[in-house]
Amino acid sequence: MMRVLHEKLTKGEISARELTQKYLDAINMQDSDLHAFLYVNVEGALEQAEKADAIIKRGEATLITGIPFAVKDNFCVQGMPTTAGSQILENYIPPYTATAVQRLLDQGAVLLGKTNMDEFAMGASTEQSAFGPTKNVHDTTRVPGGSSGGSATAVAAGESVFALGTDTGGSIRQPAGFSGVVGLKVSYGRVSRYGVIALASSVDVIGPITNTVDDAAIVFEAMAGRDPYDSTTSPHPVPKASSIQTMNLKGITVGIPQEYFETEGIEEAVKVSVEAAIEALKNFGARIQSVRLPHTAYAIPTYYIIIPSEASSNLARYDGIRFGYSAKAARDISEVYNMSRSQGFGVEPRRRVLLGTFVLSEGYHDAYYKQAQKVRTLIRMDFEKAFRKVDALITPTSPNVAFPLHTKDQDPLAMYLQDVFTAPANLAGICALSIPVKNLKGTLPVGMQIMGPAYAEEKILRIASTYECVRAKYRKG
Amino acid sequence: MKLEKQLIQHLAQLSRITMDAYEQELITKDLSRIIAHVDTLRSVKTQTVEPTHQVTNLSNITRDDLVTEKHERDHILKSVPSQEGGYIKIQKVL
Repeated sequence: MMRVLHEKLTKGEISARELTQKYLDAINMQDSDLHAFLYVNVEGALEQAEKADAIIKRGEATLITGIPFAVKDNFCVQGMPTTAGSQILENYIPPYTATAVQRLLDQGAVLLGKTNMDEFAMGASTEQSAFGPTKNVHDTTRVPGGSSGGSATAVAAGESVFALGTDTGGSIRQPAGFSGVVGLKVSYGRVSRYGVIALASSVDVIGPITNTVDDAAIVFEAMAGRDPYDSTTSPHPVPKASSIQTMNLKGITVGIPQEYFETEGIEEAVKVSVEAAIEALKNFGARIQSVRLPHTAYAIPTYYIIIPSEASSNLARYDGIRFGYSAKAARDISEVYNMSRSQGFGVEPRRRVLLGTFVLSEGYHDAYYKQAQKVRTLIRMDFEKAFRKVDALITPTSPNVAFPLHTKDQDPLAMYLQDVFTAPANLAGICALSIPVKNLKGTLPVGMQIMGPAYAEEKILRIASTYECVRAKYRKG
Repeated sequence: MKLEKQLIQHLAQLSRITMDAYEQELITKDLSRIIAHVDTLRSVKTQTVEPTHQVTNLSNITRDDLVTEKHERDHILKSVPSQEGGYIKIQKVL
């Protein structure tokens, strides 16, 4: 989609300003119902579009120049409200811009605004936002997934060409799956996290949500690579979007982890639709092989020890003094901390801070936190062993399609189990993406997850791109 | 394991989070269920397994300590809850 827009922009068929206005109009028309955006950058976007038009005129445009995009509200953008979906950051205006966003702006991309999310990215439905839920564009009585639900809806509803999200346990892939768009979780360390509000620093990654696999590859290439401001960024060379092969999977072996398909509660529609999509890949030369990842069942318990631990530490900085919300009635310093945090945090951050404090506390640390870190090693080793035999692994993105609003938001454990297929990739630091497949038993989108070894984005994009071509053929037929 | 009221109160105090009795009861129930779920990890044999702290295999990544960008004072002042006359303003609580 971005290549087509790029051609129109460079041929002068449409200006960046007109394109931006078109997307601002779409937001204006639809977003009061969908609530994908928390902040719309009307004047700023039009100004950026004019600058993009000047770049295009000079003949210096890249594939990103003049393309309107949105970012999840946990990306700091200088001068723009950045709430992370939390009351405690209401009115917080960062003094600097996240590296990932800056790299896109430097190429003349146009920032439409900030999208809704579960508070501090803690959730799988976007219902935990302090500012109200986002709706699924395919059925507005259902959730868009989360925590990057605003970004997924913005792209699926045509309110943005692409959007950035963050993924700590599935927060890009699951909403992409629920919303019928593409979501790429990059390998840990591929894209700088500088300027992204931290949830769990050893696991957090950022990535694009897009309409097509090619768009994901283009945005990935534009953002990835070493950043001196994030010491965890990798020196590995970044693949070129244009070098990703398609329609040819000769020499590629795809592993099917049996544990995922045997998971209790997996919906029949999801299972058969993903199985059919895997079958279709055979026609392009892919070899399919069954594999075992024996520690899969321990991923969620491991995840819900490690993530709250890191979150409780990362959220300690919200003290009512330095950022956002501060309780006015406080009489001494400890009341400022206690009242600001109790009033400013919603229920899920409070729950995770308490849980994280518990598993890290004296007497429980070894039994919980240290044990979880050891099981994390076993989960990594499962993947390492599998990737010695296969190039990539394919599973459903989620065990179910998008669920109705307010059916899981009072049950934290049910919400946590949404991450059952996505969290393992985060714990291992490998790359993974979600691509929509044809739903054989219904109308709601079904996501297929493709996981690859760390820094093997090119490989999973190649498989996804090939499936996308197959799907396009189905549609024509 | 059962979470005693005293333990929850201790955790709340460590976390600088205040809860009323009703909220405390709800959160105790939720945490007990979550902990029962994560307790399944205790059965995994890990005596000979090293813990994973990070997945990058990078170590001692540094950069030169040079000023490469400057933050505008006005931008920084915009990021705090309250300001006056170019100063960050906080309540009289210290």
